[in-house]
Amino acid sequence: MSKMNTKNLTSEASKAMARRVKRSLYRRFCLLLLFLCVPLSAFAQAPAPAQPKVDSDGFVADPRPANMTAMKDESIAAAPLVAAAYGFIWLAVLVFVGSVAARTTKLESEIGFLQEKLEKGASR
Amino acid sequence: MAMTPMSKTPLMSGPGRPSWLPPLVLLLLLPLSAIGLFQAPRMILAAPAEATMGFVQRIFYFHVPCAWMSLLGALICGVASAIYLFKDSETADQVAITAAELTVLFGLCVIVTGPLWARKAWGVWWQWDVRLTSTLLMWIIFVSYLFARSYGGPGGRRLAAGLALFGVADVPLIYISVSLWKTIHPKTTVVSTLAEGMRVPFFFSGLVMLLVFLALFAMRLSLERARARYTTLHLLAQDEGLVDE
Repeated sequence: MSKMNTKNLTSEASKAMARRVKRSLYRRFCLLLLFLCVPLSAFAQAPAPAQPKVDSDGFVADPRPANMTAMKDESIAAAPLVAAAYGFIWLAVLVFVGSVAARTTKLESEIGFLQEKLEKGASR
Repeated sequence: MAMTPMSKTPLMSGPGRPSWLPPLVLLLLLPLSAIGLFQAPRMILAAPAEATMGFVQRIFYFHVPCAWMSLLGALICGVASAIYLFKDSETADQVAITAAELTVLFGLCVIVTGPLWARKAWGVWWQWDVRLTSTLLMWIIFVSYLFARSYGGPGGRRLAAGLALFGVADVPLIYISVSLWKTIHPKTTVVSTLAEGMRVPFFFSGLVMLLVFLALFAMRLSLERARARYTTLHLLAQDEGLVDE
């Protein structure tokens, strides 16, 4: 009788042990799935990175207009450009003032000439 | 035709002021704008540098005010041309040609200074962008206005006034082009969002350019008035048989 009891107890203990191992494996599998699914779902939500269009020859096309990319690596000194821009404004204003002054002087002399003629004509 | 004494003729220049003396407004505006044009670069050089473009961005401080003056000139010319077309006002016509010449002058400054900035910032002198193209178009319209006035014959003034209406129609398009279309040109919001240190030199440059505009406007308008006086005197002398046809 006692032998039978001992046998039963051993088999129950081993069953309980097997259940515990099974549960632990199941928990680990679930955790593994969770760790795999989170980054996968995030990756699925992220937009696919835009791939540059490759033509038949394998060249990568720049989306910018051709004349914008032609000289992109050139280094140009900025100071002469700024000075040229400001200098041009000064020059344009001076030329305009000179032109208006010359036209006014010419016109004033012609007006003076006409006035003189009209005064002489009136006095006659 | 009976001649009136010259001193009483309204066509003559005022008896109190010698003809070589410019109007008072010019005496004030010319030195002020010249001082401003000397002072502006000092303030511009003291302004903080722009992070991406660096030193070349300083062209902005006079490129934009020049563009504003060019648009202002186009607006004045358009309105004056409309008044001339519908009311046949001589004064409006004089204002229109004055404003047209200033539009061409300041427009030329914009068209020259812009590419100098673009060469460094974009890597190209010119880009067929909406803002650049519409600005060039407006400039060409006002150049053709001046050509129509000079070579258009008897109907040239009215033809030019019609052209000015087309030119002024381009002004709102130029302004909103950067908001309506995809463009590489900086947006209009750059002015309202300027950094603290950039705001003062920018608005100072704007004020100087406005003074220059007003001084040149007064100068050019007095020339146009002198021209009108000459035309009337010439007709009077022709009537008297004093000059040839």
